[in-house]
Amino acid sequence: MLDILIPHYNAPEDLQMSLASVADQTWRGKKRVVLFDDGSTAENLAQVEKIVKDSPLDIDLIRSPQNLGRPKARNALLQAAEARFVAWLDAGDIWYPEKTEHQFNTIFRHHFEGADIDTIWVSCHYDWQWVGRRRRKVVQDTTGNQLKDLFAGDRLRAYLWTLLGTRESFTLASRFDERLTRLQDLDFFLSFVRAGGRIVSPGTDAPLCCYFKSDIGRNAREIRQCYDTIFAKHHAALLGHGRGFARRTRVKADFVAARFARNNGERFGALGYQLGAFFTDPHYAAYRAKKFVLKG
Amino acid sequence: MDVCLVLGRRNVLLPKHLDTQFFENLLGPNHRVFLMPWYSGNAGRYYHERLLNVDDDRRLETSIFAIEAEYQPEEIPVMIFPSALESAQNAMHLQRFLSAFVEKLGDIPLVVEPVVLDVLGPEEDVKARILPVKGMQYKPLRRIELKDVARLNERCLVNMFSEKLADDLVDYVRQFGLLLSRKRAQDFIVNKLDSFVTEELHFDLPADEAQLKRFSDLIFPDMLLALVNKPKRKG
Amino acid sequence: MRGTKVCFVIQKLALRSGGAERVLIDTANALYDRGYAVELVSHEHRGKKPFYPLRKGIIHTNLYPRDKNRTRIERLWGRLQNVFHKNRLYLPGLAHLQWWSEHGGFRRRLARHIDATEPDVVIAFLPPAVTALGHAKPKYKPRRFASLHNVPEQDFDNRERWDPNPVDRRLRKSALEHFDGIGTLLPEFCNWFDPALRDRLLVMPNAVKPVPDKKIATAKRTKKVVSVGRLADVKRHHLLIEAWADLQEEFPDWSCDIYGVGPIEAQLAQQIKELGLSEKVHLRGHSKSMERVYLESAILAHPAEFEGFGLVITEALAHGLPVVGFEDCSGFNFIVRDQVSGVFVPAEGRRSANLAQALARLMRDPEERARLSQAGLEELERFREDKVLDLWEEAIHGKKTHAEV
Repeated sequence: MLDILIPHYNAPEDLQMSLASVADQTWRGKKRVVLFDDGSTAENLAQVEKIVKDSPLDIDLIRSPQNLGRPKARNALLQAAEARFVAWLDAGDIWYPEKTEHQFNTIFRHHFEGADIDTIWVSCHYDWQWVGRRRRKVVQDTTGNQLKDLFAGDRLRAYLWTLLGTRESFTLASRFDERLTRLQDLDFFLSFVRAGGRIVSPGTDAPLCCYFKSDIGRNAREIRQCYDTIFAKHHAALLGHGRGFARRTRVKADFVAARFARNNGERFGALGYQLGAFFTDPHYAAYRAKKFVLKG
Repeated sequence: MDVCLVLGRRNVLLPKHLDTQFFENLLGPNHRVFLMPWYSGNAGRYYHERLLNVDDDRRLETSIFAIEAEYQPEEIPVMIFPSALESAQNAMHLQRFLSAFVEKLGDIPLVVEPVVLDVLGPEEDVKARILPVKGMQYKPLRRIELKDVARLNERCLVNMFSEKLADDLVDYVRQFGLLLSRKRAQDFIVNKLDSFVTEELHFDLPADEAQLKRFSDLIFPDMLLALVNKPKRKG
Repeated sequence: MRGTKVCFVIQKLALRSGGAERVLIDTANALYDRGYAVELVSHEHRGKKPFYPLRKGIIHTNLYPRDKNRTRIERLWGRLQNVFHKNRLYLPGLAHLQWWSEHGGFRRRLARHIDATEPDVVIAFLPPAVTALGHAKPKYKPRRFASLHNVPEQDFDNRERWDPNPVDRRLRKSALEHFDGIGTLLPEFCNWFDPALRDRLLVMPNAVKPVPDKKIATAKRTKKVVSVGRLADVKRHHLLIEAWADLQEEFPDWSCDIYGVGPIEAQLAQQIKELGLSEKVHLRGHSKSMERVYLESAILAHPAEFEGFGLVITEALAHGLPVVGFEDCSGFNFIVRDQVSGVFVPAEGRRSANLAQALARLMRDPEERARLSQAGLEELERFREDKVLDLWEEAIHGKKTHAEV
């Protein structure tokens, strides 16, 4: 009754960790893992096959002969899903044991209250762990204006692996945009909310999964371009929250890109984005600079 | 859909008395107690008796929905109705609930496995209380003999004792100008008696008035003192 | 998973309760149910929701910048533009400027939106959206389809309809050649189009919602002729009133109800009074329960000059009413078959006398009415919702080539 959709690309150890966390779930219903190997090398694929064979879980492995990229992999997974309920996980991240149980109870609670469960996604709080740093809990606040909060990215963040919902709910608006090599989740969330979908929280304050974050090897320019595509696509919705807000959202994207650039050693690239941000919204850029200085 | 209904007495089957894991083992493989924290808000508790008021809201629909989502095909959900057979009226409530269940399931046939505890009385009386429901099938009745299951038996005895002593405890604390509800009093006694059981001190059910009096004189002052000196709860 | 991405474009949608808007929403909902990813795009000042309920899952985007998000100078500029747009003196050059000021934004924003969302097909509803989409120049090239809901002469040649600016009229017409497909309601409308466009035309009638058989079987019909339509010259209610003057003597127990509101209401009321028909012919105005009206009547008289489609006619047939109308009325003569589901009144000679004669024959003969009513229900098969929806899928994907079939 629950299909867990996992894309994988050349990271068998990470995958093993994720699968172990799925096997440890306290929820006792019937679950199946759909694993999409996105064209890993022969060596890695062999390792994945061994992991699949040794796992106590029911796993369907789909092999792609070449690397298609995240959005296509996600669409292929969505296509392969058959169960009434669907949850997502990325190889390298983990669920805590009670995640599925809490989220199912949330679905049932909404069903009990008469909501149309095909238009809701259950998200959750999560731990955020930068490589080499301490775990930090991140709160998913679903109480505000979700569209605005998704754009702003502070209170509510578009992370697919926090979600559980019906298969129907994940086809509510559209598929993953295959142009977006990064941030396809954000676009997917925005479309969902704009189409009348609602993100809900489980009734627990505890984080239910953990995200291991690293910026290494990710291209800052690619990220910034994906932001632009998303802002253009949802232009009217973004502007609906005011010009100042739209401007600040763009500047935040600049800062994200700057962070990626910095973490990948492109000092000048980072400076470029920061300068761009300063010219678009000097107030906010100054605020960020102050925060940076105070933090040391 | 297969469902197992456990029918019995309040003082054995109320959620606070019962460990679901233990009960599942008792009923056999594939039996799993149906939990509904989405309804009660208390994880790990069951309040199936509330399902008997089927007309109030969507609780039955959601239960069916949850069973369909959470149970493997070979698993049997267990629902526990502590007082369903205590009176003819309660029995009718159960019948009404099952009819609604059949109706909501639509084309899916419902098969019910009834399990009763022997404290309910002779088998014939119990059978007479399990009323037929149109469009639904019963499996043969199963009985759980309390004397065979030490843990349940003990629980039953502890509850009966606490029942007898509860009023005395209420009176006892009143001497000190304190007010205590009967329900709370019973909880205190149960907690106390549980510690006896763990020390393998067992109860003799037909204890007479005098014995009870001696026993309460022994434990009440101790309990009150323990309450007064109770360390502050953390958090 | 949702497949083809369809984007519907209409200029104004907020709180609009017209026929074309209903077709748009019904179609969008039905296509969504068939697994399409659907977006509705409008470009209007009002930021309200559509009048008809939209399925959850369909995204509605209004491309027009909200007033509150504009600076004070922009708002002032907008107000000046509005004053300019009221100009009705179309001097060469100035008319162009006026068009750009009024419609340039829609065209430009639509192109940008298409580039940003990359839909597989964009469908423009009604002429303003057709003009904007036809002349939009996005880098991304989706299939374009124009959906028209009136007689083409009215949409493209009438100087009063839509924007009276001659520049707009010219652009409206020239927009059509940029479309891969054009949907029109009736086969006879095809003749209006440029021969070069004819192979892109697709006749797609409006769908009819079926009425439950039980309702029709238990309908208590009274001796009443009903006529439904806006009180305007084109509907020619005056012919029916004239005809009734001939009929009242032979059929004293029959009455005639005219439903609708419109500019010539007073004129019609005057005519009824002059002919002394106040007892028999009633102007009923607007009714909320047309279903009941149809089920209580015996005949629909439809003397209109022409119809874009004639939703009233299909609705009446769906409720088991035989329809009487003129043989040269477009829409009517497409939906109804003479002597099968209704009666064609000759256009030669005095129209009101011909109409009276046709009505009299039907009013005399209840068996004939029952026969036409039954046949009318069968006739509506052609307009069943799923059949019309199949046509929409053809509009979206283009005509299937032989290889695909």
